[in-house]
Amino acid sequence: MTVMDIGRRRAARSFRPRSGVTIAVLLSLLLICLALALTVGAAGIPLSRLPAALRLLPDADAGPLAARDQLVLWSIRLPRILTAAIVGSLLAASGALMQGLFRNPLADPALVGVSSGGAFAAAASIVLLDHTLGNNLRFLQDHLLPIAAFGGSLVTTIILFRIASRAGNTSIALFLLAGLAIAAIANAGIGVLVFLADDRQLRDITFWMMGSLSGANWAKASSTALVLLIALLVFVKVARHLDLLVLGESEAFHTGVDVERMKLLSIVLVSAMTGVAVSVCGVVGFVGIVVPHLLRLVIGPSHRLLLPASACLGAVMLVAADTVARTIVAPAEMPIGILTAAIGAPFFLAILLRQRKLVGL
Amino acid sequence: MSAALTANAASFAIGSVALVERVDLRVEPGELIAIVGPNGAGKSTLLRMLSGDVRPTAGAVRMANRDLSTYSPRELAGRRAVLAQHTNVGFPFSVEEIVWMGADIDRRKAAPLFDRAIREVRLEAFRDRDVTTLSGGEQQRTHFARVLLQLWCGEASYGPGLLLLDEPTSSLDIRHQLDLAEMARRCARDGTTVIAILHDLNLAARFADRILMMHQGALTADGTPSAVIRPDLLARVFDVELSVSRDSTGAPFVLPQLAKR
Repeated sequence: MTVMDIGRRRAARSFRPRSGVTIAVLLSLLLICLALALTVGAAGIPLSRLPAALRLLPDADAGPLAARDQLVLWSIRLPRILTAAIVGSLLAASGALMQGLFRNPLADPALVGVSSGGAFAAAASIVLLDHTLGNNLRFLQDHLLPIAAFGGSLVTTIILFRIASRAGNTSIALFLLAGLAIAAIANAGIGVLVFLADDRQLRDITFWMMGSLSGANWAKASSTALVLLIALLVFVKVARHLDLLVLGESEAFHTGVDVERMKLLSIVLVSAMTGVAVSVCGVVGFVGIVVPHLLRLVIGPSHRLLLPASACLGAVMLVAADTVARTIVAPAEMPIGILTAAIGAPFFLAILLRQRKLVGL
Repeated sequence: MSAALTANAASFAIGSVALVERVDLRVEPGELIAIVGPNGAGKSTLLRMLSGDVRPTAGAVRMANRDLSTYSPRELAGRRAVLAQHTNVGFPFSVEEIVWMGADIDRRKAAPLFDRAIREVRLEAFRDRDVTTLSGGEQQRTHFARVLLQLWCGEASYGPGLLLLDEPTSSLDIRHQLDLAEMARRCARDGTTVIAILHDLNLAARFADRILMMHQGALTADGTPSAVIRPDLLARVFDVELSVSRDSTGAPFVLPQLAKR
């Protein structure tokens, strides 16, 4: 047996944890991460005061600082951290879903222009609808924003699918390059909108470009939570079929999958998840690539576990990243998109170099 | 008894270019059929029509007296299994996971059949291996085990099924080519209808009860190996002069190295 043989004979999985264990570990990690994130910030709340601040103790037992802690926690920090967790779930899980759909571990909505398409539509709704709506209807803008971002993401995903997949085969190089071009077009569009915008609109748009969670509130947390809940329910339905899609579109059809229906469902879901994430915190890249890739190394590629596990680990990652982003240059705040790109882009390059043959280079 | 599969003037065209023209075919249950023909003769397109991948642009394909397009993907999966020429898996699934994918129609029925499918393709030692690290032939055998599992699962519910193979032997060594041919023969003996595209005329002659020869999108010959592997037909369809010999069982064979151009 030559050295090559030994290398090739290496088991695909020396150790793969059971799905229940994986989810339990990831959820505990998330809880720890959430608790730690709650203690850190401009007004520090040590772990010992956390139960009182969360109103878990009767008022009598709460310390003298409880009232201030409660205010900070409930009106500022908690909604922000929960939003970070939910958006992280959406980003990572939509990445995993898109990778399954395009049968390509390098697909990420932010990287291939789907997020930019959403951001362009969101920016367009700010600039173009602002005057049409008038002052009385301005409150509608908060609701129109996620819908516009969803629409933009949907159109972009469909265009991308049309370009990159011919007769059931997806060319990975074509897919990445087309995504690059689409992102460039969307960014040019955003540039035009910036040029047209007035001062107030400009401030709103800049917020997307940078990607920050500073605008988070309870309303945003609850609407994103709703989308995440729907996504998790649909996952149960599509996960098994996504596994079969790995064989190829006609092979998936041969094994009994209604390929067209499941592609449509997945495209709409990826777009909704990306669009909502974009409408809350702008374009945050690489979470959708890094998280599923790390998980595949440990739990294997099956989507039944990968999708929910990505949602958990994505939440952990974004809560951690957001905590760093809001403390590292305090009292100022670093845009979270810069942070995830700084960590994620080298990681992406590493995957690209390791899986060179996948791209046909 | 009704035919397993019939094609009535089934044609497939892209724009004005006809890939398959007016193929009439009646396949009885348990038949073992090889499709041969030069590159671009329309063999794969014909197989794609028979599998339900594409609808004929004219004419019809019927399975058990029901038009193929009226079956849902799930109903079809229970009644026919397809092995593609090459299946590319981009994610590191294990051999076991890939084979299990064939059991998607009915996981409970598949459990006792699973080990048999793995054994049939001699991949017992490869169960936990990452399929993306296997050689082309090993990958092909993995997918053959998956397709067998799907076929058997379907047959457990709906009776003898249909097995379609698109150049199944192209990446296999001679031993596994013969294994696969033998396996197909055993399936046919149990009532499964097997239709395979083959490039190797000798394997086709040895393997099949009936050979369909395609040329320029049309069915030019349809009959027993002795009736189809004939020098005049080979000269017309493949544009080579081959002499046909007989082995001890009377089956025809050709020696391509003796061909005159």
